[in-house]
Amino acid sequence: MTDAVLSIERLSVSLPRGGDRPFAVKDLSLDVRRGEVVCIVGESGSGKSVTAAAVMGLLPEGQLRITEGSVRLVGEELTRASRARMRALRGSRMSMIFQEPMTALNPVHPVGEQIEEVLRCHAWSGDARKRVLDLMADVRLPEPEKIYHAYPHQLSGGQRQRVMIAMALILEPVLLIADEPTTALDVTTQAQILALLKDLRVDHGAGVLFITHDFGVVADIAERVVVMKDGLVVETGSAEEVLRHPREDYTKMLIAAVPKLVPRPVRPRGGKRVLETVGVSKHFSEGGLLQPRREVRAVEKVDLTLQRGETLGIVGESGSGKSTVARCVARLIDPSSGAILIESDDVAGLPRDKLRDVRRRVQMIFQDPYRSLNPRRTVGQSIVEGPMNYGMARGNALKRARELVETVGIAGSALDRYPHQFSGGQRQRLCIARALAMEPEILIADEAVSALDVSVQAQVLTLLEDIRDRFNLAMLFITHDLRVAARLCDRIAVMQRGRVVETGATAQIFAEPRHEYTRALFAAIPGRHRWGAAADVRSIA
Amino acid sequence: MRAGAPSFGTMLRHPGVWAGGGMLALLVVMAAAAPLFAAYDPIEIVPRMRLKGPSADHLLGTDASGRDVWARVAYGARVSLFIGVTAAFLALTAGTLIGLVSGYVRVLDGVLMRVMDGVMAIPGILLAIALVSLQGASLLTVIVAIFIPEIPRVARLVRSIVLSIREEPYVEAAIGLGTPTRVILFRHILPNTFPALIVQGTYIAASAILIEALLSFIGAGLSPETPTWGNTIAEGRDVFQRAPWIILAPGAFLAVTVLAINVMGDGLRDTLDPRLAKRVGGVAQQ
Repeated sequence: MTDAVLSIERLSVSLPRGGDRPFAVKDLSLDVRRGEVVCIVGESGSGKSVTAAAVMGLLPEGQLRITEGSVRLVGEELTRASRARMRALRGSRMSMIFQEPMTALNPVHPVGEQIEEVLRCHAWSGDARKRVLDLMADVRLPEPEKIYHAYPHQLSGGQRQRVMIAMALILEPVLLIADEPTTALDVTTQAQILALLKDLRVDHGAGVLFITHDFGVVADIAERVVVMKDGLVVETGSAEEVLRHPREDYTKMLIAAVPKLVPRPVRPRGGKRVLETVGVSKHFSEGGLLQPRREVRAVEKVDLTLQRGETLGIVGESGSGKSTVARCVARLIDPSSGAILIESDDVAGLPRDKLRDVRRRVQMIFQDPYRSLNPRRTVGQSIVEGPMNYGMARGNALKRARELVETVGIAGSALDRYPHQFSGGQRQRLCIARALAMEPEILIADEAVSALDVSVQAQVLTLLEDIRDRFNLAMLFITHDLRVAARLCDRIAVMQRGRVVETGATAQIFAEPRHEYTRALFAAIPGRHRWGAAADVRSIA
Repeated sequence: MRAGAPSFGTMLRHPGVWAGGGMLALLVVMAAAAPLFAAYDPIEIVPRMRLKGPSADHLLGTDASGRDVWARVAYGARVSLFIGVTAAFLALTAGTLIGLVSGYVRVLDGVLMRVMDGVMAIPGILLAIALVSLQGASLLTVIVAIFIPEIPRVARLVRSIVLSIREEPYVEAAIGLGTPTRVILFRHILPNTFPALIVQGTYIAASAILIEALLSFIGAGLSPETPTWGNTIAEGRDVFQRAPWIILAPGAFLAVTVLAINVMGDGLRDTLDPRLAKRVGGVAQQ
């Protein structure tokens, strides 16, 4: 393997004593060749990020330690390299880009200077400013001269990630490690960044080790794939091979858990209409005493309807106002204008102290399962809180909570435990139980599966579908992920910049997206060529 | 015992809690049972015994008036500990209430915080001197003079925690469940302030003890014959060269007390959070 820029052999990294397993990574071997993209794919806790940190020499000291194996960068052994040597290699021979470009950039320095700093740290001789501007152009940042002087908060997420990539590539490293670089980005931005990485790999000839949890991204960018689970390599092979003919059950399960881009068949609609929004708008005003007032139109004249037993998906990218609509309907925030009819009562203008009835009928599930249960209260206390607010006796409420917890697939003994003792997926189930305890008519799920691993996501989606049918709920499902929407929603409303640009039955929208933005969203879905190409969708619809 | 609940047992398992708490317990016993430990009256003046060094009779020697330093230190612990605990308790209570209201009821925030800014602008020592000269030196005046300037810091701390916790999804979920505002404040938000408040409380207690000593030292505290650590140190100042024990003994107790309180405070903070509790004690998981 003379052309391998990175060669990892039988690498093992130990976890501190008392963890749930002795190794973060065990017996990992892989090669990355020049100009090749190798994807490490796995769910959370699979050891994929630890592998990246081990290569970069960035394992947290005293906690994780390389116990065995070798990591060679173009033949040079890294596991025994001195700190000074590793520091010299980082940034020049190998570099890394991270998931969250906002926190990876220093907010108090202009981004151009931050890129230039890499050159200075490695004593680069030449016209540093020109080199930075060239590279900013290479990563297709518009107006490099202007962006050079911009601060991170003045750039969009995609632009910040481009800055990170420019910083990583400026010294022409032979190896680029990308740790979930597109996970925090919108789907259209993600598509652009992936395309950029593909092109740069050709132009700059670096090998790329790409870490992701998303098989769609794998399908788009990888040449070879390493599937990891619990620190072990499950399967490795060319992307084509692994995606088309996975050998191991775990890989098959992961690929099967990716929601297919096939819209659910149209189901008869006959339920009673429970929710209708008429021209709902929400304007936030910023500024005040000393600054000029500025109005942000987060949501502009949104009309939606929702029936019992039906799921309406609101799809859009960040900042499209989809969550704001949900929070207006739940009356967690006050809409600026318009009407929200729940059955026939307009609740848009009700003052906060008259909302008791609305609260019972509309319940919400939030995105972050780690923050939506109070860590200081037992699960039982959290679930009975709502019913007890409405006068149910503690004993009855607890009895019912036990049934509900079992309904969502968790043992009844969970009631006495604290949220930190559960996994993310379990917590999301508990949040669903908490919402169900109120016997709502409308259930709002705000990105409720976005933070979950794909296999867990599939289970929670099944659960949501199940309880919707069982309790005949009207469900408002907010998501940025068209795959998930296709899997669950009967109808979809696409939002862009506060407006609904298109609504319709899921199958119809997938078959013939009318609005140009909807088409852009479809085009950006990672791995769409492999799963549910447009032609398949048409044939089903 | 529910799994995950911070129990008394898990608290005691933290080295900081038992070490700091143990030292404090010894000090409390010493203060409470001062008459048993000290053979002499802490205020009786015995001219022939002036400035005697430590001996079997007088463990820590005597001061310029012939009073037993050990007796004055033991009785002085009563004043110091009482002032520390009371001032911390009052400052925390007042500051927490103001902080909660200020953080959650947005319309009152501006007014309350400006008042707090005003209080913060008054130098603590000046307030103490002013109060003592107006009201005369008493335990109450000293405590008031110490706890008032601490309120704004507590209020600001609590307010900042409330501002971040009120954005947590679980607070929104509670609003969605129809939980009344008052209950949300006390059930979901207040407990999140406890770890910070405990640390802040121990800090206030420690600094209150120091400030009381300082006030006594500059003559703005309790009357000079009252046995307090500050008074004893003040009396030893002029004769430090000849009789250093008069300053060193109460000074050492002062330092140990403040250290014990701080160590215990850090330990309590670690154990009071159910998410951290599993690191220190054997709280069963699953």
